[in-house]
Amino acid sequence: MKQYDVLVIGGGAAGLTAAIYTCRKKLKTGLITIDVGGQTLLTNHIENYPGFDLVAGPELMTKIRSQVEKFGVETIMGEVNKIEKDKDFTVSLSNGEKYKSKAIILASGKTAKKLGIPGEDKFLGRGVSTCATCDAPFFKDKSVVIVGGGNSAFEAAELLEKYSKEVYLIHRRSEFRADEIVVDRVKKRKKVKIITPVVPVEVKGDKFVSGLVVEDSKTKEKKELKADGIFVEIGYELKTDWLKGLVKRNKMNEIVIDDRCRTSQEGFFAAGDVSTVPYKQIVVSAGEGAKAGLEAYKHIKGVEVTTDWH
Amino acid sequence: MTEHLTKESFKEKVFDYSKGGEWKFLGERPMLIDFYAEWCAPCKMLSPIIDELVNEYKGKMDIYKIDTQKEQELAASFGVMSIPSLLFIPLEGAPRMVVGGRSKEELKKLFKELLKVE
Repeated sequence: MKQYDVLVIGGGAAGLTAAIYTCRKKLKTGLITIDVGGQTLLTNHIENYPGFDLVAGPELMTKIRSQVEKFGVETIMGEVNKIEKDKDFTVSLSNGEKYKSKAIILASGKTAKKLGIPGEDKFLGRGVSTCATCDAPFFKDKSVVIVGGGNSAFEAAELLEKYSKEVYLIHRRSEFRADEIVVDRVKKRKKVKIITPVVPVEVKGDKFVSGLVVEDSKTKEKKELKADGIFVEIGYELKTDWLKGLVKRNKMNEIVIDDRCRTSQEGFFAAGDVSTVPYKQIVVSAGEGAKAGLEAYKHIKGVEVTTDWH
Repeated sequence: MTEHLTKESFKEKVFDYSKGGEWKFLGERPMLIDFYAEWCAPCKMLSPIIDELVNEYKGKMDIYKIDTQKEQELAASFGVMSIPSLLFIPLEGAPRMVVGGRSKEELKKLFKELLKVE
């Protein structure tokens, strides 16, 4: 079984940054991931990452990826489904491969949430989309509904407005989680109609999507919005049940960490969106990854990381 | 590098849809077709996996890509509205479209289940 000093699980901003730090500390680092770039790959419009006025998600992650590869990380494409702790950690992948390491940095992020309504699965790829940046051009001169109230929903509205005939943005509350600057920009777009507070009830269609039935959250009145496309942008959830018994989690399934990314299990660190860190932001995740990397070094070498000011 | 299909080569190698009528597969081996576009990040993640599978499954099945931007008619004729979309074509029976990116391991499983190729 191949032995590493550190196994980083997850290839988003947190995981890649953690690997940069552990590699630079000459720790033998394996990065196990199902993709390289994580959630950031799905956004084309990042305006709040320091050093960049405007950068596309894939471009930013490609830069970080080449940086971490330069420092000698070993990337293992795969999905982890079990971690056992003896003296070291044994990490099992769904394809049967196993690896050992002295420390774990879990940075596996979040998984896109589904609506969970009739018709959603049936019409996936037949009008129902989970990736506006991928599929927007297929909805040229068509009507679309975006479900959600966060930045990704509003970004999708801005993008789809360039292609589609009409764009509805529906949200279950009348307040939005998205940044005010983005909301203001979208409200000015003529083709975008914002409808709140409504919840989606059913996706209608025959071979392809023909509409979305929505229910008014106050009056409970139902109506159908005629649409060819439905874009699901309702955020993310955490899939951490497989870690039950190994590390402590909170009610939202986040891995509980202290201010040094340490979990309830010694040698097991968590960083970024999968952890209890407040604010799920690319720059926050990168910072958390750095902390977890340095803590893993401290755990393995048994020494404090020295910095040049003390 | 995986071979790309155009409208013309598709009609020769896969199915001549211009004549209408029922699905009639023209290939000699089971086939996978990856519908993608340059702007799509999940497609970019899938691309190197597809390239590897082309070599690993040489002689057992054929694997092609279709650029949905260049071949809009082909994409539309298969009702592609989300990418990546993967079309699995068995030697016998109807083809099946699978939407969204997959890991290499999941694809191998689908080859076995849908195309009877190992």
